[in-house]
Amino acid sequence: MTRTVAALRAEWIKAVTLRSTWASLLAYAVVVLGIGLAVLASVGAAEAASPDYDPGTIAFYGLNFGHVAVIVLAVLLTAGEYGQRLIHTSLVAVPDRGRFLAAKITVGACLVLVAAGVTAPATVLATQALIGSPGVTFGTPGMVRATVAAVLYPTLLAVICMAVGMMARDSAGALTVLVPFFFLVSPLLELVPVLQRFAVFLPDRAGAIAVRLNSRPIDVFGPVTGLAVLAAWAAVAVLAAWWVLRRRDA
Amino acid sequence: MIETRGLTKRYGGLTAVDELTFDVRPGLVTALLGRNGAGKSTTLRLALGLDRPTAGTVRISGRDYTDLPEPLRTVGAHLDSSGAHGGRTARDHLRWLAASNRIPRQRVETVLDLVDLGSVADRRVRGFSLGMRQRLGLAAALIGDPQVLLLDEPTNGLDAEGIRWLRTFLRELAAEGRTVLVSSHLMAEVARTADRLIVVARGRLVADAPLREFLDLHAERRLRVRTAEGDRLRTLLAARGARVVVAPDGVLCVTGVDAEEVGAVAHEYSVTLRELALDERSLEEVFLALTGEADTARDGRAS
Repeated sequence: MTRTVAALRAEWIKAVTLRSTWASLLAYAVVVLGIGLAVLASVGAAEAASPDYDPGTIAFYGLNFGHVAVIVLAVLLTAGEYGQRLIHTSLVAVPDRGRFLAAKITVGACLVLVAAGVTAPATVLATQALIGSPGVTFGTPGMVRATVAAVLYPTLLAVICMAVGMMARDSAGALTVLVPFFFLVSPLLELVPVLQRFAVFLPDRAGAIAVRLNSRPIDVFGPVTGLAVLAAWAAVAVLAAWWVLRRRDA
Repeated sequence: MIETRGLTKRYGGLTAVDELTFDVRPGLVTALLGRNGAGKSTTLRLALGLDRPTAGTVRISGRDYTDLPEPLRTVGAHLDSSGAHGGRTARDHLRWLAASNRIPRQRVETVLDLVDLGSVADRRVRGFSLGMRQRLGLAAALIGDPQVLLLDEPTNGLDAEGIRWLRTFLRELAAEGRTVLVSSHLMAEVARTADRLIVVARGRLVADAPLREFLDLHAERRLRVRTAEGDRLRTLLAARGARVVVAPDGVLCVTGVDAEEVGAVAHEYSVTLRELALDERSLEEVFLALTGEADTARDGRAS
């Protein structure tokens, strides 16, 4: 236990002593809040009153963009270890690779959890204040759940990306796979009629469902299941990273 | 104490380390000597649990490295000339290392002073010279005040003064009873620092002996002697059975007698010596001959 706490402390110091960590977290908050405000300003109060308007999706419109910052952070914390062969130092200090991986992912997830935990409610308050009376409040059914989802969704996405970054061992390589996939490929797949029933099971799509207030015809599961699907992806990714890290020569 | 038994590592078809068996004892500076690609770094990575051996074992203080509870308190290692994140300051790098093994924070300042990096401790490692990175790596290795030190080519990138400093430092650490293993590809460097030599070629053990014994066995003891009275000394030495060749620059290359005898003769006949040294090239030649031509055919992930 004491060794796990020591490993957590070490990973914490590592994460917070890099400028890129703070830059990514700040970028996340600014992008999610800023895009949320910009979208609501352009959508306007009139459209907000229309029936297919989903207050959750619109308020958290910036999540998709903010996730680029989450992916960058996750990759820099993990694949970034391999750049200057810091991984050798890390594994000499903490030879138990399971413990090392667990500590790293826990710290990264906590940082994103806190950043998203501040950003999500702030985004709801700011965007709804902007459009005034047609806006929703935390009293609106489902809005608290959507806000919680907007915290857990980026956190679990960070876990997936940290696991992938650890396996990839190369920051540039991991980023060129993860950013286009979650930013473009996955959202586009959802628009292809024959694929959309499967696309909703992709981690980010499943997470996005959890942020909605009203479900769409293509949604084969609800918001809680959506988060569960995302969490399942995260668990599989972490197990895969653990398996690879344990077996591989550093 | 480091004990290696039948240690073998293959990467695909390439055997980087081939049934290495040796002990590294406390109280000595032991050099792991070999050409680039001979398997030195691989051996160190295997000792630290970074790579998994194909066969055999390597134990430090009686245990597998990965079974040591807080390993930095037992073993200090410096593997790559880097091993630190460029975006982090030297102090922060040492801080997380200390935290990872529950080493008191104060130790960070101690090792920073020890390697003379105190004045640049808050600068990012990215801007460090190779020599500064080596010092940081050494500080990192010393963070847990370990009894065993494994250093991979620690003199790389150090200037002459830095090398001299490191040499003295390693000798002091060994004199305190620590186990010091230093890899090198330079015989001449090792001859000045090490007490004991472990020579590897193509992953195999070629020699494992005290330096003195190794030199007596393999080296033709060629001395470089420089003096204004070259002709006189040459005659005096020749009379004692030495073979003396005068190099174009006037240096006497002497074989067949040792430095002590040359010194005694010079003293007795009041010949002023400007230089009396064991010729490094002869050591280098021994090393190259010993590690063999086959070595040159190797490519190497295992430098």
